Amino acid sequence: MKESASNEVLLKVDKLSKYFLVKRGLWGPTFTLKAVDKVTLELRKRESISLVGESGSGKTTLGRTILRLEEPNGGRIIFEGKDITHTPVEELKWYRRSASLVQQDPYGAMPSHFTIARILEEPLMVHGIEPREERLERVYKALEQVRLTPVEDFAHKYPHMLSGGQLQRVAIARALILNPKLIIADEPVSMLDASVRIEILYLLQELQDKLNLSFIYITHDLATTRYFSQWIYIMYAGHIVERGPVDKVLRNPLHPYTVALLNAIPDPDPENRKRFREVPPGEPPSLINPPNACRFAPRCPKAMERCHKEEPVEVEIEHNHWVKCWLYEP
Amino acid sequence: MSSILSVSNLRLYYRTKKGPVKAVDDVSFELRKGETLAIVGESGCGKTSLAKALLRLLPRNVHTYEGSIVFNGTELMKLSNEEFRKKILWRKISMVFQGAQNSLNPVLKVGFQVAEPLMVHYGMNEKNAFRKAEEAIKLVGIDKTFVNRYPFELSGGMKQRVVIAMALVTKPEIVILDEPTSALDVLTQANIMNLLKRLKEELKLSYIFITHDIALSSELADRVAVMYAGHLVEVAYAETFYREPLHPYSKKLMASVPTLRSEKKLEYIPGTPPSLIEPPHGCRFHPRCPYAFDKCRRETPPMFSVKGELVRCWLYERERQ
Amino acid sequence: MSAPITGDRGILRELLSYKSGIIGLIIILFLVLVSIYAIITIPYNEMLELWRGSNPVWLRLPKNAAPEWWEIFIGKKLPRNIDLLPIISDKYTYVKKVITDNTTKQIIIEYSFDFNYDDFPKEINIFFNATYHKRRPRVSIYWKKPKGEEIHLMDYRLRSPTDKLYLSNKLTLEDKLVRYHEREIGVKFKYPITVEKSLFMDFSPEIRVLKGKYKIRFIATLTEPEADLNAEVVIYGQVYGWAGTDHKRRDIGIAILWGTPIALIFGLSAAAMISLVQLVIAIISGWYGGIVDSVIQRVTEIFLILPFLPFLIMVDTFYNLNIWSLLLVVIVLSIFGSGVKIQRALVMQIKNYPYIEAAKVYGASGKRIMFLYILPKILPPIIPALVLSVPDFVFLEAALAFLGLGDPVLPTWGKVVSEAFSEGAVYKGYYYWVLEPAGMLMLTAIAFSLLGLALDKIVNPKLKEQ
Repeated sequence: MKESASNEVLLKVDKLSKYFLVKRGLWGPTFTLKAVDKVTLELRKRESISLVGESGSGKTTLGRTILRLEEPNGGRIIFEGKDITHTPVEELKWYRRSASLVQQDPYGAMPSHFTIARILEEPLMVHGIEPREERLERVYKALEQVRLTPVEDFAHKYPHMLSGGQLQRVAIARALILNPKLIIADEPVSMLDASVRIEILYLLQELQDKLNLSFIYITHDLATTRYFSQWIYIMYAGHIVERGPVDKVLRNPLHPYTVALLNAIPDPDPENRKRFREVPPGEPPSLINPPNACRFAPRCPKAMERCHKEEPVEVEIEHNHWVKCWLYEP
Repeated sequence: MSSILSVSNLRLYYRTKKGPVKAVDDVSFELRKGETLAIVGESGCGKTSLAKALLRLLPRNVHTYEGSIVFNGTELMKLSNEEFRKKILWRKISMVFQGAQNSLNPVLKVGFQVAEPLMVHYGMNEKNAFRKAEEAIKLVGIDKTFVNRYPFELSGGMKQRVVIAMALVTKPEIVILDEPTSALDVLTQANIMNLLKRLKEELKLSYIFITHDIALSSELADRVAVMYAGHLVEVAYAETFYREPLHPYSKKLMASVPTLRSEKKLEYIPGTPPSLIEPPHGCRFHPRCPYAFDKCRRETPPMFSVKGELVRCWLYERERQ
Repeated sequence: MSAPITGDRGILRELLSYKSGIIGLIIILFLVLVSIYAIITIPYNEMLELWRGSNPVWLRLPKNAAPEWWEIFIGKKLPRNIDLLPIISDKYTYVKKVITDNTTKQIIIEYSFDFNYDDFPKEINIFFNATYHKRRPRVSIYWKKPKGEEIHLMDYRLRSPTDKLYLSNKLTLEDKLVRYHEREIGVKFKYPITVEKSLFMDFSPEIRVLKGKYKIRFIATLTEPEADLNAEVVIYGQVYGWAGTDHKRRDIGIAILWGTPIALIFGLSAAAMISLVQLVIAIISGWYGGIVDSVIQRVTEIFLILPFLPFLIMVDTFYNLNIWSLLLVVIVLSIFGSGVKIQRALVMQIKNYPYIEAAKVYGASGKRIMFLYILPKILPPIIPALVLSVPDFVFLEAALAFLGLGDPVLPTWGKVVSEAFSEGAVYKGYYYWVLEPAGMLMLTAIAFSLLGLALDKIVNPKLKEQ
């Protein structure tokens, strides 16, 4: 479907873990909340990964850890060949230019007391881009790239004067303005109207092609993944339970959780109301002090005894299509 | 199927400094017994205002509130506020609000909150009300021990079930669901939809299902009404709507829904939804409509009846029956 | 949604839409104009000099005179100051004759003036200005009323070149005048009649003012050829100026005028400094969290428990602070106040907003985030509180002054009230002495309260929208 991406690896995440220590009261016991548990991920240039999971899956924490907003507790993050796992934040200024973020809430993501132009100028000012004329030029260019024209009009407006879709474009412009190589988009369209979502996703697609960007597109909306990314990673309770090329995973889902997700999502079909969906009951598990077992086992319709006792290992089933599930014994 | 609710020319305008906001502007539709009518539209189209208009949950700044709502033969608009509150509100028609799981009272036990509508609307004593509340909680698939828990102890999905229990405890005939699964995870959403499907059968309910998610609407809808800028622009049966919508806006909406199971090219609608204070002259969709012609700019089209469907579009003027 | 909070035009426009805002602004503008007027017309050093109380300038003013508009309440036309100076004036006639002989020089000074008020003057003093070598001049003083003959008041020998003769205090003169009038009118007065009354009363048993032309004549005998003598007569009115005078004969108006900039500067400085410092402390506490936060919060709690006013009074009593030191102490005692806790809560909230995270992603430093992204968000809700707290500080200074702990030299409103009460103003009927400063205090409080309330209405709904 998409032209083959260049083979160079931009980002390699190897068995990455991120834990949080949770304390109950001043003298209570300390629990370990394993938000990200030994995640492996590979992203090449000019490629996109859809990171799919529900709330509590750890997908947002994974994104934040990759951006080094958090320091990992285990594993490695290697960006353009450089190991940035434990680099102190002061030495990561170059990384802040290379990797950026687009968030879910367009209104919350903008400081409401700045104009659009000033919002876009901020990253440039932080990185010492002088003089002011140079910054404004880049601001206007960024606004053009996200098609907020006429640029002079938008530059002088305040965030509350724009619609959600327009603001999200500003967020994208802000993510582009330092010429990054990687953009992590955390649910960039879930707060937007249906008709606007496609517009934004198409824009991201176009920017990926034009600017040689790579994306990690975090979402819970499986249906959009086909339209945007080449790879899909399914995340559950801190683990990547299945990963592979988008069409392969969607056409041939291996993990029972992926199957459940696909079952759960309706297409517009008048027959839907006549049948019940096959979905497992219950809620995603707590990430606190997880047992050494498959995290989906309590809800899994196909759970075996082994699933409750041992954490499954990742297995490659088709080329590049991996799954973490005891149903697929190597 | 007989008509349980018949709405004609319903109008709800709000008073604001900049002029009246025409949130619900001349809306007419029918709901038959045991049927689900889905009302779909994007944010700002007026669908939540429509729900509030039906249940007379009006804010202070109401500019206009008129029209006809006939429920089982009774003209609701003729009832006084007192009568409406006593006879209709929650007894016959109840509602699941958008984001309701976040507006559960955090300091009251869940059981009490489900029992409350009974005590308020039926004057039931606490013991009986609690018993009925337990039944309702079981009905929505929550173990009855949760009656004594507080909202913070429940997950999002369970809270939403509690809210549904609150809407059902008085055994209403019609339930208005306003985005009942927003903010819920995919799997939880599917579970809730399964629950709603089951309850509809078991309790013989009629639903008005308000959502912006077209794919989700097909989970319950027998008929679909599309709302745009305060108007209903199309009312159709599910079979025809999801396969071949008539109104240009409906077509564009359907084209913008990404599907898992079928191949299609996605389209988006350029422009932004219009302001409800000064909607465009003539057909409200004409500035964004690829088929707009001269008449669309001048005159607002009425609802035309086409093959058993209603469409508010000049393109169908000649095809009407 | 409404106009952005940082757009000045936006706030101003909204402010003007509230009547309370307009009234508040107008009154504050008035106070500012009064302050400017005070500072320009009476420079600071001059003001301090004047207010010293022992400044001889005041001697020409009546003691405890009411303001001129007070006579509206009395219903009579009350006498103003009549200052008879040895110069030509259109208000009175001045004649000086020098008659030289071989050995003596006789100087005759005569003043003629009109007295048409309904009530008697408060006092009469004569200020001599003589030059001589050794022999002190002798002066005879004569008085002529509109009716009757000229009365020989007394003979006086100067005690110094700038001697002052307080006619009103001379008991012998008082007796003489009473007996004179008793003879002329033919009645015996039951109550003593003061000199001023005698000199200006009509020849009738009821004591009333005789209106008309009056004359006072000095005949001085000097024995030295180069000697000279001038006499100035001050007939003190019962009213003076627009504000009246106090017990030290000072024009209260100076204190009222100069009290305005002092009150405004004190109140505004205290309010602004404290609010801003609290804001910075709150931001640091909320942003860094951890130990820094804990320490700051505990310190704040300690300060909150401290009884502010007693502590302040204690410090002031020990150190007898001037107003600027007082300001400093007030600020230091207040900066770890409840505002820190309130604003820290806001900081904690804002810290988690998406745009703060976005800023971290593009590499913004903590300081940048604190002061460019968080502070502007918290500032608007603080402004109404800031404005509303200004009268608190103005009243605080007034209260301390009232207790006698205020600035020792500056004329503040509180000082005036304090002196008025010490002198028993209310008992003596000098209500204006208390009402004027109290009125200014209340006006200030009303102005800032109205403005603060209007600002509150504007700012708060916006906060909810966030």
